Amino acid sequence: MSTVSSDLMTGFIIEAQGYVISLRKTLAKKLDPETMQELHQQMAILSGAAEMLDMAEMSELIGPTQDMLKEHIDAGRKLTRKESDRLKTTIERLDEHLQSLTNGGGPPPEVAPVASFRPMPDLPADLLEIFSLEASEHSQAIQANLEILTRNPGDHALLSELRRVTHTLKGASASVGFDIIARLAHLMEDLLEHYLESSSKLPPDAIKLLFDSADALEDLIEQRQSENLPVVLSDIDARYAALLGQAYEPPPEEESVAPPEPARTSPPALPGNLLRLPLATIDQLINRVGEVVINRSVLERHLGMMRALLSDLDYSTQRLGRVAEDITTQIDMSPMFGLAGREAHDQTFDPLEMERYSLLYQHTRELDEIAADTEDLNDKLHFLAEDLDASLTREHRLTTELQNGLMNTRLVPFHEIETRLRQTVRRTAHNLGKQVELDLIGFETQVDKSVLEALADPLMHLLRNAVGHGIEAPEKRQEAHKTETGLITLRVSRGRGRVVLSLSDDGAGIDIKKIHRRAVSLGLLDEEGNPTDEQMIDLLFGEGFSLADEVTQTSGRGVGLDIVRHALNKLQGTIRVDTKLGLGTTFLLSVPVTLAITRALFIRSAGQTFAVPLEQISSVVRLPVNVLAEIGSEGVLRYGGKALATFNLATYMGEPGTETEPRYGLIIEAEEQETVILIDGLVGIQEAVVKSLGTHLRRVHGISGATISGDGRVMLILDLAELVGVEPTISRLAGIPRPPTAIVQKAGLHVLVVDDSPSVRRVVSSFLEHSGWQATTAKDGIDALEILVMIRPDVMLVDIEMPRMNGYELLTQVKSDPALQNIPVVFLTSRSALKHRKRAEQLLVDGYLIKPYREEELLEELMRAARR
Amino acid sequence: MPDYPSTLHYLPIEVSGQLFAIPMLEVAAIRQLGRGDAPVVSMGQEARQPAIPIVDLQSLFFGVSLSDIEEPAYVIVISIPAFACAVLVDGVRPARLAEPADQLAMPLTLTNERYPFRGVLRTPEGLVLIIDSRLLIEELRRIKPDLIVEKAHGSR
Repeated sequence: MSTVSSDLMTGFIIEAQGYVISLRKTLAKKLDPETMQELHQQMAILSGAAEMLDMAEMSELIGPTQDMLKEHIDAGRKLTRKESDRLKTTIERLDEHLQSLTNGGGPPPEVAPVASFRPMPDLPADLLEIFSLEASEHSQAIQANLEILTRNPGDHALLSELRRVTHTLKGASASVGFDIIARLAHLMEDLLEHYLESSSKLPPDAIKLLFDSADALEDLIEQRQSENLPVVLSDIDARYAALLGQAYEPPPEEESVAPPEPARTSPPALPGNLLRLPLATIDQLINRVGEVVINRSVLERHLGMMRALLSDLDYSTQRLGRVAEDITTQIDMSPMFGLAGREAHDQTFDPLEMERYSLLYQHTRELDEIAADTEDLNDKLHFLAEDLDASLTREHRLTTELQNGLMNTRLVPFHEIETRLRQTVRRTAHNLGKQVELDLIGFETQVDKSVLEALADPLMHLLRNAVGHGIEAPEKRQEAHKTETGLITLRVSRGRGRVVLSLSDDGAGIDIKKIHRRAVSLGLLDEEGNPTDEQMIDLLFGEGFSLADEVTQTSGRGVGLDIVRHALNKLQGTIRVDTKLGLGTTFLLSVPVTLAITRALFIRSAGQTFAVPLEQISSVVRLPVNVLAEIGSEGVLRYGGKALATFNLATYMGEPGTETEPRYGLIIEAEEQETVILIDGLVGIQEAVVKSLGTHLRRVHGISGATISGDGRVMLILDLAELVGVEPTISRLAGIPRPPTAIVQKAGLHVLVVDDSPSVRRVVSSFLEHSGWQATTAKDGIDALEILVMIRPDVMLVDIEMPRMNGYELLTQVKSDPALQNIPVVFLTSRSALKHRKRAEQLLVDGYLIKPYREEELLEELMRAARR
Repeated sequence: MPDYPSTLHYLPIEVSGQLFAIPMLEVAAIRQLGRGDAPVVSMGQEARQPAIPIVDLQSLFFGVSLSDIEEPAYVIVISIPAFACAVLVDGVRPARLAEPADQLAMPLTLTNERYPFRGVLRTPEGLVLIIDSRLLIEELRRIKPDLIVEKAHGSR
């Protein structure tokens, strides 16, 4: 048995009990490699903490099972039934051991089982689910009313309401055969009835008993199996007997509570307008709406293409009209066919020529008519496009409303976990002999149900820590001139698609010097080092970092905070700590309201487009050639006075040698440092409907899901923080000892093709796209300048002769604009004369190609210009 | 670039809680496997070998071997020209049709010989990976040639 201080030991036991609950929960899942890994991690932390406290019995208890798990994980083997049973036994023995420590080191007391304690009835799954839902609602109502009752113990209206709820719960439980719950609710009802009849205030011990009963009810409803439960129930039973005296009626041995009369026993009817649906049904509907959103972006893309074609058609129609008009004018003015000419040559006029005149005249007029018809059709197509645009806008609004409506059905208030949080604080404080008040603010804030469920465990962990290590014992608080009752405040607020939680206590705060000493002793820091407070606190989130060896000191955080961060990372959340020694600590957590939709930056790398959730990115920087050279030589980017590590996404994703030079850097915070992810290009910011590729591909590091683009491509959503934590040479698929060789085409450039001929634009851009490059088109210099406001291509391919603004004029504009002058410009023209080339060179053109061109020559010239 | 130019008739299968799709044209047989059944499938006269071992797809995809067969489990015999294999899956759902618009190409990063998938399907349950039977058989052959069967000339 170790000799650690009782304060620390109690804190450890509470932590360990939390882990036992987690282990049981994990064990209840399907035992796949991920679950086994989770179990192993939890056992490793627990065993590490036990070793630090010199609790050999405990680490010996866990050790062999932990080793067995490790062997299976390494070998990729599944556990046999026998081995699963062994795992279960270890957890049960662990729980027993913790119980014995709670009881002062001796074996758990022998307790006669409560007569009516029976395991859960064998109910059909659907009935059990309905009962659990209903019972949870009642249990939450009981807890909430008891909280109010603490402040107003004489409030008889409240007592009456509590009696009503306990009565309903009793009836519902009895009707499904859940006798143990029915019996407990029955005792609570009797006690409440007793004080209602006597019109007296509830004494503190009665309120405490009701709270303990409510906690036991919660455990039973949640089906939390515990060896300790019979002890608790037996104790509760005895306390009811003592309080009720003669009014106490022990229930019959076998059938504890008979179902009350039908009028009072039927479960509370749902209000007529309510309908309960399985979450999966809502998820399927959301998935379908997501598909509609994706389809809408396909339509938007097609409409955009139609508009571009219409713009080309405008230009062609204008040219056709102009040419038709020119021909008509020239024929009319012709000396041969004009009126003057006709009179002059009347005598020698050949009848055949007359016929020619007539035919040509007819064709000219026909051409005029065709031009007019084309213009008319063009106008009608424009009207149609506008109608389509309006319909699409309306459809956009309706779909957004539908999507938001459905997403809202998944939203639940934080009140849903209020009971669990209050219970955690109350139990921990009771076990440690501390007085703690929990103030919950903003719990009406709503969040996606899956996010809330995933948040519950980290919050309970932080609350246990706050009570165990943050809030001081009453006598210490008095010495520090604080109130005996410590205060923990959990404030929830919502803004810009995220929920922010602030959990603060008025306790002892975190001793930074102590962390420093511990980090030095573990070899994590040099003694001479002078890290910031922020860096020191960050150490607490490191795996296995604990202050537990300083057994003479009282405060200390660390055990399990890495688990909290891990859980938040999974939720794409963040956590920050603010602490003041002697005054308290605040944990600031931020999580997205939902994980189904995310705002993402779409980027290009290794010839592919990826989505990166915006919250992962601190900033985006453009990388000029000189900066790239610096990165190349040093491997770091100097930015904001710091040297940031770099990670080339194309090198990771592509085959060696296929990547192009990166053009942008995404600065992210990962692994406790800022890293620059080097990428080839930016596409834009959009909402992405997040879709899972299943658990099989979840094992691919750095990929958190997928989304579907408007043109029907599956684009991967990256988890950059996870990505930079992986060496590029490590296989992305566990168990395969070689790096992946993704089939990546030569990663290409983004080219702005500027030419007045639609055919040239189409042929060139199509060729570039088939080569794995990206092409954007502009029909003249003015159009190109407008496009350059929105995008930055890697290189421009420009024709010389164009209406409105020709190639020379465009080149002059680009090279004189500081924001654009770094974009290389290559001329693609039929002008082969030396004077044209010389003029272009004077204007600093970066390349000059003559039409017709060879395709390889075009790519080489563009690559060469881009490398300049 | 969809892999399938037309409507795809596919069989949804369940492995370790995840749905995958196998093109129906490549499904030669579906059999239910009970506890105690021999882990082999008889190929009869359509193959040169009389029987082939059943490959646990969960083990291949998730790196976990099934020491006990959980009931009900199904064996799918996958057959492509010249070769066939038999895989064990947790569940089989009724065959479905997927329109061309719902058949999407695999992202380039995942077009790797280690990922035996030829595309992604959009379904009411979300995205479902389409198993590339040719790649799957190649992978099994690489692991152990005995895991696949060479079909007799002329058989389907």
